[in-house]
Amino acid sequence: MEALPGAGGMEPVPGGEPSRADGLEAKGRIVNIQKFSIHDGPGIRTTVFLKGCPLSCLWCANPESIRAFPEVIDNTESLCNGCLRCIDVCRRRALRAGRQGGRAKGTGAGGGIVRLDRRRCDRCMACVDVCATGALRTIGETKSVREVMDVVLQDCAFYRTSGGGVTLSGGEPLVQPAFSRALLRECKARGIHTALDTSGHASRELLDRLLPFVDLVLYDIKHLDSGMHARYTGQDNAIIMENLRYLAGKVDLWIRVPVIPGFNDDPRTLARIFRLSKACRAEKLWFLPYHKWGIGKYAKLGRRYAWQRTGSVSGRTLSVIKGLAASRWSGAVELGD
Amino acid sequence: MEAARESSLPVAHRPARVSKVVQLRERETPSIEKPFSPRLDDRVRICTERAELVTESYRRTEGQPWILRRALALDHLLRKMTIYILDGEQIVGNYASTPRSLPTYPEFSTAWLETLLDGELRGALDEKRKKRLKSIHEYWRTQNVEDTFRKSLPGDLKDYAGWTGAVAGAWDFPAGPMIPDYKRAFSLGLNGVLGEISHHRSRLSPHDPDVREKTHFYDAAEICARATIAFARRYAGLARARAETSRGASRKGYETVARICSRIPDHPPETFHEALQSFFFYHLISSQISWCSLGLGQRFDQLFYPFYRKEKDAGTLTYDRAVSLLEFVWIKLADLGQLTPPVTTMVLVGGTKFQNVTIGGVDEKGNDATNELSFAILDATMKARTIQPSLCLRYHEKINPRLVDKAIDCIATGIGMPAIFNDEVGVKWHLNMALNHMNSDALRYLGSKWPRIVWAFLEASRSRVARKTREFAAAVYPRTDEILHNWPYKVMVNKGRTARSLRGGLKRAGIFDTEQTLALIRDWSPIACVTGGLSGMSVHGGMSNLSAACVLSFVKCLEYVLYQGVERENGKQMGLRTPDPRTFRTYEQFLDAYLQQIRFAVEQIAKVYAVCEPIYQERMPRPFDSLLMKHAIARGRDATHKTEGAYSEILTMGPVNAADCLAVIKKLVFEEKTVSMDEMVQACSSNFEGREPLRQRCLKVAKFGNDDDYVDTLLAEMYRSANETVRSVKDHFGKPFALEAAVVGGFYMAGTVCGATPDGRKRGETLSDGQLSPMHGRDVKGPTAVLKSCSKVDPTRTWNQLLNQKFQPAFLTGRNKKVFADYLRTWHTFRNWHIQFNCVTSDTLRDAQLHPERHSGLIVRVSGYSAYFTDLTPTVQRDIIRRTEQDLTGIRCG
Ligand code: SF4
Ligand code: SF4
Repeated sequence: MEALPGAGGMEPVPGGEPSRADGLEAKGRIVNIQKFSIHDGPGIRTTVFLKGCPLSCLWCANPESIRAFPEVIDNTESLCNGCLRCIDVCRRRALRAGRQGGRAKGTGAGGGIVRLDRRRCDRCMACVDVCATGALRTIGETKSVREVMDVVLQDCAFYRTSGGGVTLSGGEPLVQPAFSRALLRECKARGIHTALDTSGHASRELLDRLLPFVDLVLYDIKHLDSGMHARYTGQDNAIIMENLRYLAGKVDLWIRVPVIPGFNDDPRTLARIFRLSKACRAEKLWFLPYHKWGIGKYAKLGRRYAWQRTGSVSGRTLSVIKGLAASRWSGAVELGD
Repeated sequence: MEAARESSLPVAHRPARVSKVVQLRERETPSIEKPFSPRLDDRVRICTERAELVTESYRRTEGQPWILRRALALDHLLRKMTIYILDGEQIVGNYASTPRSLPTYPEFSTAWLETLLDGELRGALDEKRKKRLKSIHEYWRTQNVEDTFRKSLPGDLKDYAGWTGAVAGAWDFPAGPMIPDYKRAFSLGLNGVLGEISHHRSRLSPHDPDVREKTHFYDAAEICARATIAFARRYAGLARARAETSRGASRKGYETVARICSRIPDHPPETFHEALQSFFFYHLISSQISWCSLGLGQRFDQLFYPFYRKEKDAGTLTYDRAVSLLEFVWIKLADLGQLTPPVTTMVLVGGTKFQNVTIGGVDEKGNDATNELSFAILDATMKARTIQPSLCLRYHEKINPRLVDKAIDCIATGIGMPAIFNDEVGVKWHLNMALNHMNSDALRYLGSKWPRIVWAFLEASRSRVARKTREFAAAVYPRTDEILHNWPYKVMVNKGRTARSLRGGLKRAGIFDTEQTLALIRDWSPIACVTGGLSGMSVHGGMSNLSAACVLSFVKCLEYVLYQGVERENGKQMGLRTPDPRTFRTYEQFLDAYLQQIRFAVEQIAKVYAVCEPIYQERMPRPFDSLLMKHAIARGRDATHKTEGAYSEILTMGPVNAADCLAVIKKLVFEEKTVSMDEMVQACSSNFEGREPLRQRCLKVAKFGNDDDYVDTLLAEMYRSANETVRSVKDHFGKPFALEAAVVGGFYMAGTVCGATPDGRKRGETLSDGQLSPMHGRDVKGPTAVLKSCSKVDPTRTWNQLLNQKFQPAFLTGRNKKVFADYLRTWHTFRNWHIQFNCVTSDTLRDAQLHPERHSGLIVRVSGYSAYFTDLTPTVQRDIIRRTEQDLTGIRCG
């Protein structure tokens, strides 16, 4: 369980005000920078996914973004060609040739030739460097704000025509506050629209430090019942609720709700979410139906997918949402992608 | 119906076709079944009628000038061929004796057909007819055009008229796209055109050195015009006879057809229906019966709008009725097809016809030209769901957003249309085109159909030649026409007076008018694959009359640098013997050798053209098409005549792959020096056998399509220098060649003859599917990065770059529609030339591969046109699937 960021957490909050130039050199741990992202705010956007998240929702579709440190993605099942060079460089003997191993067979593609034992692995990434096929890869590159901006700025023309911009997502951007702040600040300085996709599980001070550079907050709500929240995401929702109330009226707010069958898809919970959204004056309410595309990633990360109910959201739930949207909601509502 | 001469084998799919028309008639808002699209498969029947009639006529006319013989053959054909009207058809005209058969063109070439008759097309006709066809071929064997051409090729050029080397030509397939000037044809009617002919004939001076030639031309044109009128009358007669024996709605339909066909095309059409029928007769005869040329670039919404408006205002036509009439035309266009030689069939994957219908764009003043008909055309396309015509949208700054909205709906149906063209680039492109030719041979243009355009360039250009030309032209402009052909260039430039005063004078005299020039250019439309053309002006390309394609394979040229010009397929020295690449010290040396290879290949093309062109020009004049061109009749010259300002073009294959290769060589061999040239050559020649790690490293170097300047600028630079190199070679008329970037489906074919390349591509794998499309699966940064990469290549320098993008329908519907519209708008601001969208999921496609029966109506876009997915070969299918799907929900890791 990760500690609450900002509350003696993983990254010290730097004292004083760093200059914008210093900010450019701030380093962050990135999962991915996705261009032409059209579901994370208005227009055509570039979404920067940061690594590390204080919650650990059982159904998470992006397990690679939960842990804050770089991880090895093991795709040997489909990509390894059996060259065995990774084994040569691994000093921890964490890699072993599996059933079809052997240099003589060094031509076939796929087939799960190499096995990674994560208990031995110390993530030195030596194997990744030598693997030419991409069967072993790192997730969680360290990049400076400058490097990220280079990518972000490439699509300026698209932001302009579509009213898009940059979205910080994750993981949880507030886990890396100094980096997030510098990045948002740099975007604002260049006139780019910014959105912050957050779970809200962070200290108020951190939010406050970022807020001046944020045009839109995409606020994730999972459940209103604290016990349920704690049971399925690893944290109760007290801080989240408090922060939401704090943000209401201060900044443009979209509320995003992953609709998870068997967790928050009952009419009562949904109705409460509508009520809450109204109370905090959200502009838009966005329901993201559960999908299981992320399951495959768990194996590649050497983890187990603990969420059992992998059925998709029922038609009844969808019609409940539509009904609620019609009767209790005046803002915009989106259902699905 | 007259006796059918077609083979008697049952035609399996005919009922479907008929019932579709019936449906359309009865409901007028039909959901149409898959129309028949002729292809080389066992269902195709060969109709021997055309071959027989034409040969009959040619036998009778031996000894006469070829232009007359062609006209007479057309005349004989149009008067004698079987005609039919299917029940319910409201637009009539057929080109073979039954809906499911295709005619042949023995006067053009016979060899490939002979082979096919004993092979793939065995079942296409019965023994009796096969015998008869073979005896016809006997007559043509030694005197068909292709044969004459091949016999005339000197031995050392023979290798370059095939498909192996860096030069590839489909010489056995006639093309030569043109955009007929239907506006003129509609306003005059053929009677009016005949009047023009007799007017100009009567003014022929007996001292004109070309008087004999011109007389022949007028004779031929007249024969064609009269034959066309007679052809229409035959339909009128047939419809009348049918009307008598039927009743109710179908009787009414026949009566309408009879009425229309007895008025047009001799009289100017008056109603929307008449105009469409006139158009179809012209199109049918020009592009099918007389000559299998490619294309029809028409601004349909502009051309037919006056007729639509008039009737709509008078209350005799509704929007829905217009849509259903258009659907009838669409079905007709989709029904047209041609038997093509195997090579050409591979180039034109799916047997397409490039019948472009253009909507949108600007009017003469530069304002948005969208009208109701633009919408009706989109509606007709969405309803008919036929793969032809190819719909093109001229997108410009002021375009009606509602039209774009509807176009997106159309794309979202997965039909792959409309393709979108950048209007501003189109205009600039036409300016540049003339300007480019200007510098070396400006004067030739002045007397041609281009004077006004040329003048605009002369004004714009700062080059010395342009200035001199301008001065001269100013001095002699009123008499340019006569002087041009007789005066040597040097004399002319010396006669300069100051341009400005003269230009003013000319302007006052109303001879030159910038607005008029622009008005002319603003009427451009896409023709053939993704080329632009002007209506009534362009008989296109170096192939005014020539073969479908003379293609320069950029990838092959690169291979030749590695192997010093030796073709590895056959061990011959087919490229230039450039120095051993292992001795190169710098990347520039490599690039230099590469450009030398390109130049060498272009020189071979020039030599082949020089042999080919005169033969085509003599043997395949186009008197019928000349009726539809702007200036042919006034000038007394056939539309194919070279003074028409046609230029010789060279199509390109695999530029994106070549750029990817150059990036690898530059990076690994010359900058990082981690791979020696020797290693690279050996890896390529051994197809990366046992060198997988090296191949992986090659694949990791920046690839085009990811907004990475390293390789993107290499492509831009390569286009630029290749263009210069190509332009430095002159064709047999002394004009520079132009580098065209458009090549249809040829990349599948070209890929199979290319060995492994430094970009990590293995032997025989296809090339990238468009001249700006990133290589399949190598664009990993999403659709915005692709556009950014493309925007770095100047679209007005090397023309017609084709860009394929594939989107899931989800991107084009619901709330994403607006995002897509914005994406398109950004594309437009980048000043790229062309973009088209495949809009299907790869899952659908995979399913279609496994279960073709479930997806028989599935249409995909294959660079430049749409085809039925299930008709495509497995390789092509696989490639379409692989073409990077721009998937936003893509799993982020793994
Ligand atoms: S280096 Fe990569 S490809 Fe080679 S054996 Fe290891 S995992 Fe497989
Ligand atoms: S990351 Fe390091 S320790 Fe882990 S498997 Fe690879 S080489 Fe071994």
